[in-house]
Amino acid sequence: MITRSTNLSDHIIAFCRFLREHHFATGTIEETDILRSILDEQILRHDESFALCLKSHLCKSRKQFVAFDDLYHSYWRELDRATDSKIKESEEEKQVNSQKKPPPIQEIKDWLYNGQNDDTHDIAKESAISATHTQNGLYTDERELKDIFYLVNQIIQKIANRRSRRYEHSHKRGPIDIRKSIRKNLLSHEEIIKLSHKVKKKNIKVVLLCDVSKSMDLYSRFFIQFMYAFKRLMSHSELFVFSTKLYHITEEIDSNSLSSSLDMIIQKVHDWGSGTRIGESLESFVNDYGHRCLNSKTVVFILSDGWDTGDSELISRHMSIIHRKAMKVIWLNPLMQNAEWKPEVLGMNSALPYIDLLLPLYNLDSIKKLVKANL
Amino acid sequence: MYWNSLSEVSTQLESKNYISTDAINMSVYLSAKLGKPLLIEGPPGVGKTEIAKVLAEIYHTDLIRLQCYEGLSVEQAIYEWDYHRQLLALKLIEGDQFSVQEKEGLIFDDKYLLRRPLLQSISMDKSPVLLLDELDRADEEFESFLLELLSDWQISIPEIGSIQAVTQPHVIITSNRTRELSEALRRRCMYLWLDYPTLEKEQEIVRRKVPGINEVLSTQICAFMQEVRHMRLNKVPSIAETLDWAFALSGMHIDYLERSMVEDTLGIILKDWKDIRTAQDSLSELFDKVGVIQKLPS
Repeated sequence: MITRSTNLSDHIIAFCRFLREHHFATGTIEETDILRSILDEQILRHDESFALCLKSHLCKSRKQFVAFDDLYHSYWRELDRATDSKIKESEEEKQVNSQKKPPPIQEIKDWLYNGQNDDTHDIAKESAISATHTQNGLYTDERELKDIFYLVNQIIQKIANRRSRRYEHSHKRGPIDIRKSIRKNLLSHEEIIKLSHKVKKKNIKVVLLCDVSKSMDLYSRFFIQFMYAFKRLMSHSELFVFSTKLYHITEEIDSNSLSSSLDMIIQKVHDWGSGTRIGESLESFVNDYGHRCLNSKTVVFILSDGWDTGDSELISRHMSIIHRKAMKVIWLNPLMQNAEWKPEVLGMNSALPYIDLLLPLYNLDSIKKLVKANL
Repeated sequence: MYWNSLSEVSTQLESKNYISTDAINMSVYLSAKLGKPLLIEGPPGVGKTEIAKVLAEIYHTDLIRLQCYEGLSVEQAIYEWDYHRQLLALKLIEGDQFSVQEKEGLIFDDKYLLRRPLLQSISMDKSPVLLLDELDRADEEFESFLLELLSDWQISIPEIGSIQAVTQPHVIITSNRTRELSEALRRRCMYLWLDYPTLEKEQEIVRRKVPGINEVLSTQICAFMQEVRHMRLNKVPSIAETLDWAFALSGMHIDYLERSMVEDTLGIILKDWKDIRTAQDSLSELFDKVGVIQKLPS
């Protein structure tokens, strides 16, 4: 393998390029480091040590560490195809891929835009609930989006300004900030009389999980606008949608306009408007994204009506994990607009013990209530 | 360069009772050879911190440990001015005819600089092992401060300027992945993922660390732990728990696993009441998998 007549350094560079296609962040630094390492004859003495050397340099996360061995073998096995980076799909693969094609985009777009989709329509229509505002002539699409932005910004301010318990004002004041104290007394006093105390704010991260199953049809568009506003105003937010599966849509919603974000989400979420499997979706969130999305600085918003066709045991198990790891779990349920609503559905019931705050969310007024809540 | 060969890494680590793998040997070897920090990720208790301790012993150098936590500030990690002594010094020279520049020079002197672990690690004559433990617990801002140190081996102090490293420390960074570390930091490091050990490796560790343990008991404990780790638990037991259990059972002169004994000592390996209940419920199944013969109550 290594004793091929072709130049080894060329292959290493080509291998790095091959890994880049598989989302490895391999750049010139890594390439140079590998070339420096293989000057040591011991590294080239055995295939295993050569592979381990590449692994140590090129992997930067657990996922890459696990995937590396397969990629390494497939590269050297299919060297010619990898080197020119033009891997052609086999006929079989093509057939499989064609079967997996998402539903026609236009169809879903029509549904999303209430059948009024055209290229100039660059923001989604308001939800059916908030359509009353439109009928009254109070809100246009852009106006509504602007209002959502304004209100979401207030929510973010409220969450972001929440002080860490460690630095919260109390009878016992925080540690003295000597630099600040000196600055404070510099002009007016010779002696340090006025003391400043350290106050630290937490860097809060927000995770939004939105149910886009059939039962949430009426609210999905409004919720997407809500999530879009969060992402635009708080770049650290992580966004997910789920119905029977979980989809990470942070990158999609991070694009320039709501319209293009929607287009990208539609292409990604194949089961939009189908059944609901909250438990499985939460499981996939905890297992695949929990390690980086959940910590003591995370506020998790779950936007769902709680209707579920899956295993309720899974919901309680994974809600308990989220509740334990996150700072706060806020469940926003559109059905709560009905005054007689009770959390009787199984999904909602299983999640209830692990929810810190259960609030309604269905239109702009409900966001205003959310702003006033103790977030 | 501290290593002459790859095999030397393995030999030296084993001489300090650290059972390594090829991946560990290679990462340690290359990290020393290229002078790059080594980022070790993995679940708690798999021996990430231990690598740094063992390396300090092998290199015959100091281990400087910075335990990271939420709210860790630059002052606690890099340097701090001794404000109290500076104020006192200012008072003492108040009447003297010093210019402002001279006064500044006097109070921002090296003797008023309190060196915290990071600054201390680059100021030593002999390269220490710098352990940045559980970096994922520190804030993202702190991680950014580290970038300058890890790439240029210097620390900037506004009042003095940049302090270049006298010697480059051997940096070991550990993370339990409670949050994802930045791409910028990862790219400055060699990466090593440490997972729970294989059955053979765990047996070897128990044999080394618990001398005198019965061979049958050691094999059963390790096989039992391997099975327990496949269960859905809130807190998966690590090597530390295996060793604690092995010490406890060996100390009680037990030669093989027995149901009642396992039930009584589950608290040593499982630290969550729900996990204990789950394990108790599937104890028979676990014993079957491990191959322990269960004595039926007479």
